Amino acid sequence: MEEIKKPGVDLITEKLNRLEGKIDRIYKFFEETDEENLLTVKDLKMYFPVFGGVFSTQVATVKAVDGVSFKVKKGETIGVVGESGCGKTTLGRAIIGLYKPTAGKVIFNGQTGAVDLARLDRGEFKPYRKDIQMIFQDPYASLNPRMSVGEIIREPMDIHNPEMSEREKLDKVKWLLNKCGLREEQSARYPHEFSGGQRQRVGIARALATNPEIIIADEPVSALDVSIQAQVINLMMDLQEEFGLTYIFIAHDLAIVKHISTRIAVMYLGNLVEIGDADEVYNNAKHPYSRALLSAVPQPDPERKDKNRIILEGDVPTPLNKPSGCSFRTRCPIAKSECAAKIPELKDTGNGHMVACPFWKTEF
Amino acid sequence: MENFYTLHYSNCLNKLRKDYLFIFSALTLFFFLALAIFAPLISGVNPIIAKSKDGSLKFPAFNSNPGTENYKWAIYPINPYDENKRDIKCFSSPPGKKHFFGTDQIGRDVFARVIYGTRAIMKVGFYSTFFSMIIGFFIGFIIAWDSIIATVFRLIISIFNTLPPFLLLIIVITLNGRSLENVIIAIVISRWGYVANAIGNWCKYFISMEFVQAAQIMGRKSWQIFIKHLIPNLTEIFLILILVTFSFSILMEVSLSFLGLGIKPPTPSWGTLIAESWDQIISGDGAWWMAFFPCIMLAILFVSLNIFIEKLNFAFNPEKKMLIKK
Ligand SMILES: Nc1ncnc2c1ncn2[C@@H]1O[C@H](COP(=O)(O)OP(=O)(O)OP(=O)(O)O)[C@@H](O)[C@H]1O
Ligand code: SF4
Ligand SMILES: [Mg+2]
Repeated sequence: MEEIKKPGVDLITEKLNRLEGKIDRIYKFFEETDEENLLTVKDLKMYFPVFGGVFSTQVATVKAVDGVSFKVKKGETIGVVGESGCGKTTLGRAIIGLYKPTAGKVIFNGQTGAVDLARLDRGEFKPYRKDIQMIFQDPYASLNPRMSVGEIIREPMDIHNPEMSEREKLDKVKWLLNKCGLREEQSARYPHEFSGGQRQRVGIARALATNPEIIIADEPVSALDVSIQAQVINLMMDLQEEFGLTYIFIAHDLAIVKHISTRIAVMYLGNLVEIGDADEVYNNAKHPYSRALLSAVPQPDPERKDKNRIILEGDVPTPLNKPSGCSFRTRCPIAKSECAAKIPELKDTGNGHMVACPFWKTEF
Repeated sequence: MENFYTLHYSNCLNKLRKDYLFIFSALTLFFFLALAIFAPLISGVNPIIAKSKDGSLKFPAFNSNPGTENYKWAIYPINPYDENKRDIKCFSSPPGKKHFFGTDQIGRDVFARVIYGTRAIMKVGFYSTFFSMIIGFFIGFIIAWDSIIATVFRLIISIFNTLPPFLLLIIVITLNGRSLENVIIAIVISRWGYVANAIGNWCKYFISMEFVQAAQIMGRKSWQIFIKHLIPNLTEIFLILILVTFSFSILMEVSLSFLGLGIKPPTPSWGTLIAESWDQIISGDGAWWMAFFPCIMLAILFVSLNIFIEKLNFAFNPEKKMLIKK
């Protein structure tokens, strides 16, 4: 058969090839984000410049978050633990866009498709703000004392749902108050008339007002009484079940994190050192730092292997001046000379339990 | 629906209503205000109400240029002297029936001069506070957010604030000459930096609070946060700043006048009165009443102003923390 060759076919093939390349790249992007992961944090870095001297020049850099990667599936709760100052709050704020990350990606895969939040400017970010919300640590500072609880809860709706009528907004405020264990008539009251636990419920209601997919909770109960902590945690878990919420739960209380989380991530000096299923990490921590951290928790948990308490020596280095290589090496009981050379990467040790230490099998 | 302001301020008022010291200081301040406004009704050469020959009622005391006229009848102020009228029969006479607070060495009535002196003080206080607050308010908001302009302003403010305010005042007055306007300008120049700093720091404080971050996470723009979340939280601070600045302006006015750098004589000001008698007392023919009455008035005004500020400060703030340091 005679081959029919029309002019322009070459051109079309060329164009098709190019298009294929583009599709490839787009496909790769989606592969990275893969469907089931609602949020993918890739190599996120958040550095703060430190100014000083006579002319206010930059004299140093605080590496508060220094290359953190993890994925969050829809409906799960990731608990982020670590000592004070290790960068948990900064991580949460960089994800939610309160800080513009220095480097890295925050790929949010919501209903409108995947998008890298870290690259968006303020205006572009706005449509996604309703999908990611935050619950704050301080129940006294997180509510404007000059607004009634009703006004506080409806503020997000005023911004994101201008199509809702006044009636609908009021109804939704009441509904949210009920859902969060408060009474409808309390919407006219002011924050100072509420207890810490009740205020935190108001904060939760505000976070829920725009039907978010992810809620970042930055130590939401650490300012509350122990008896009230459990109530708020249980409320959060009930709401998660009802609305299919996804939580990133930041805390330093390991027992609470274990209770609410499906997975636990352990941070040290701006890096993730271990991440895995909550039970795995809690009962069978592998990274020397996590083992030390967990051995310090007094726990009447019969399942847990009885471990001797590991006491770490030395102080936490400052994120201003991090040790080279593994940042834990100045305190690590099994540190080797190789540890100073290279920053260890998170490696899967089975069942998705990732550990950033090549020597984790070493006993100590 | 009761809103925050009615609720919160009625709480504060209830607290203050039971505080006799606060009520006393408030009444005293009102008294001084009234004294300044109604000075011509208490002391002056023109009648308060008068029926003129053509049968119409007139209020010459409030007329800046009443002229001389014969009235059918007239009600005169209790003290028939104004601030500059000289009683040539009484030089340096002690307090008595005719001159309540005595007279000075050229026969002017001290009572009248003290009362009219209130006017000068209040005028300087009001205008300097008004302009210092306006300038300080806007610059305070600029320095609350980090930017290059903010850095420049902060530098300027710190220079102004390290200079002793009094030195600044003296420089401005010496350069521009003595007058009411120049006193006001000088006070504003030495005060705006303080106000801007206070507003800027309080804004910074509120911006660092989590409720502002919550608003940012919701997608509120900066100016919306400013209007909805910052301004409502600044009202009390603003009120107290006004009072503190007022008290500062009065003190500065009195001190300047005492040094002979204030309002030009013969317009009376308490500071001038004290300074004039000072010379007398030093030279030996002491006329104590010339210094005593302005000093007493000054002391009463200052003490009540300070009590007033302190009580408000505490009432607004249940944690017994001063909102503004003086
Ligand atoms: N805006 C900022 N500018 C400069 N340094 C910052 C800033 N925010 C945080 N840091 C520094 O980054 C490091 C991490 O702070 P971060 O608040 O994230 O810690 P954290 O883990 O939340 O601690 P905590 O448990 O006390 O809340 C700290 O050393 C802190 O000093
Ligand atoms: S890499 Fe080295 S220093 Fe770091 S945790 Fe492992 S053994 Fe310790
Ligand atoms: Mg924190």
